[in-house]
Amino acid sequence: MRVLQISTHATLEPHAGGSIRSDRIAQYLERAGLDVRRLAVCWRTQKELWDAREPIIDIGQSPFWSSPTATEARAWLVHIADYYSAFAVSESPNLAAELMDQIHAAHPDVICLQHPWTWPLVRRLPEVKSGAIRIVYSSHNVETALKQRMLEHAGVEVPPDVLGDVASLEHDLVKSASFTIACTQADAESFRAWGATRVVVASNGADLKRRDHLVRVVPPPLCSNHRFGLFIATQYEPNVGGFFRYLAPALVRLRPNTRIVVAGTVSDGINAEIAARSLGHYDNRRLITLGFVEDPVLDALIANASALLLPIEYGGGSHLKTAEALASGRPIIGTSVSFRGFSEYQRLPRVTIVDTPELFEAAVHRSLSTPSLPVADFDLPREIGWDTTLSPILEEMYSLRAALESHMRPASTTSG
Amino acid sequence: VEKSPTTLLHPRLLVDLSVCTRASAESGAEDWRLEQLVSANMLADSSVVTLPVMFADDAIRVVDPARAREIVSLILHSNQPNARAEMDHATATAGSLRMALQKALRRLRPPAGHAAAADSGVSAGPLPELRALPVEVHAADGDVFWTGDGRNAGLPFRHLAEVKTSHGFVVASACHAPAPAVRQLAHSDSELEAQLIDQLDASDLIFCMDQGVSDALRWFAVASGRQPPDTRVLPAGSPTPGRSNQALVDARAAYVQRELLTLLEAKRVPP
Repeated sequence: MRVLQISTHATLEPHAGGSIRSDRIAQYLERAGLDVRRLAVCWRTQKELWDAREPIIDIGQSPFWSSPTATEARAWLVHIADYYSAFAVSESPNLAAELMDQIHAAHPDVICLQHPWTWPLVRRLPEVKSGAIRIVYSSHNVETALKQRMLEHAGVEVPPDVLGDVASLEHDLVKSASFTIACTQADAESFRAWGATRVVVASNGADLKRRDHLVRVVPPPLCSNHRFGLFIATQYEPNVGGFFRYLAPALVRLRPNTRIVVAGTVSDGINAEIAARSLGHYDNRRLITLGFVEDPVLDALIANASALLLPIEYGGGSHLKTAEALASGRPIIGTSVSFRGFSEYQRLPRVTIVDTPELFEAAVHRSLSTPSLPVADFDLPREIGWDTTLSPILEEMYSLRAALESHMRPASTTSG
Repeated sequence: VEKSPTTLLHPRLLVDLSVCTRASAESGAEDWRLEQLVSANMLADSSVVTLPVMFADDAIRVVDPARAREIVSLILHSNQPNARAEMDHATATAGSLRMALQKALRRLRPPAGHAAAADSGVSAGPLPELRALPVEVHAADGDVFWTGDGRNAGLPFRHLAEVKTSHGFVVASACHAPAPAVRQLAHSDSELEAQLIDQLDASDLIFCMDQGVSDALRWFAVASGRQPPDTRVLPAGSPTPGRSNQALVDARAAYVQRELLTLLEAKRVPP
């Protein structure tokens, strides 16, 4: 069975939670023997050169972005830019043709959509309308709810028809898909309530690795005697908001030789807000924003952190950073929201759940003033590895393959 | 006590001149006289082992002792009534201690061999630059670090607190902020709150201008999750508005000096 995975992000060198999940799903299906092709419909960055393993439909070339629709949407575009991906392709005959060419070249039996945003383009295909190509919706959140929350949080007003269209396309996709992959049971319930026929829950997972050998290996300006809480996140509004709600208040009262370290592109958003709000005192030996770091650096940070911090205020799906934190064996301080999809782990002795800024601060200070948990003193939790969390998808894929084979088999054969 | 090579037989007073040199008229010139006078007197006290230092390039660095003494001797001389008036005027109008000292220097420092020139208006040239030398002081147990209220002067109290935590020396500072201002800082998420917390973390002893400040500091410490600091309340007085009260500053400086000597004595290793 040939599977074409279409995503609105490149997945070959994934760094953000969404692209990591998409990549791990593709890898997992490949390892299971399925023929998986990848296609990205996104803005091509300078780093992303042509790679036959994942052609990119570069929506940055579309005239849509200077159209009246995009100009009108300027106030909220940044918050729901991925929703406009399909608009960008539709309004560029070249990109639309390129997309169709790539889909036909892949000759898929199944199209697996990562996020719902390309559904308006894919549903037009005659093969999809006829059922010759089956659709699998791989959700990362309940986008309808998440986008609304993000816009509310940003205080941005959006015409009702825009959010209505987001809801409409996600509802339509859920009902049209052969099956839908949900990150959490709660997301699955939402999709079922919308009329999804089949929903499978495959929560986010983590790459399981030991980091014992990295104790007392830290990047500057950290020193080996520093105790620090580590927040790893990408540039994403709920991550920036969570930092300022739960972590920033703790900075002023940090004791000497303790730090909050931020790794990942969320650093950009945090630094911008610190500059805008004249919070320069955060930087005085309290907060270290490292920006994007390579995996070996990230591993060293995790191995030496007193606690991994999950200051998540809202969001859907399950948080990949929570899975990674659980797999690291380090102490965790997080909100209830951050443990969506992982509620069974909230009672672990090394997990502290706190839902107010005051309690979060107290937990951070307590963690930074108690002896570190030995990094080697835990067993890798196999049940959080990707191979385990994604396994329900494979069962559904095999069922779909059987259905497709049955559909294609001549009537005489099936009758025996 | 075992005498390791790093243990000082004679405790050393590190006199931080950061506050003296960074102080500005905006910070309240009157307030800084305490730090200036204590630093000047301690550096001039031959019975104490002292080392003038400053913060520079993220480290405690040595200051040329000769230049340091020259500066602080000016501060001492500036306490003379005629020079004081000159200094007060310059501070108020020119807006910086440096300007004040340069003016005072022109009046007070006679060129070599021309003692009488001080009153003739002959300029003695620009004030020597007080620069940190590229020599780092690794303070340790046995050292007492005297600074002042360095918050407005940009003294990196957090850095000091971190170095002190690792190396075990003693820090004495001062707080000029009025009590209500101290209380208002708690949970303000402001730079001033961060600075005061850093000063608490760095200081083993804080000299307070009155009992109210001491009480406010102790309250602020608890509100910030810290132990109440060890404080000393300076002798009281009622400065006349518009005129400096030199007697009060002298008395307070003498009090601080006695306390610093006590700290040094406590650090002395028995023979």
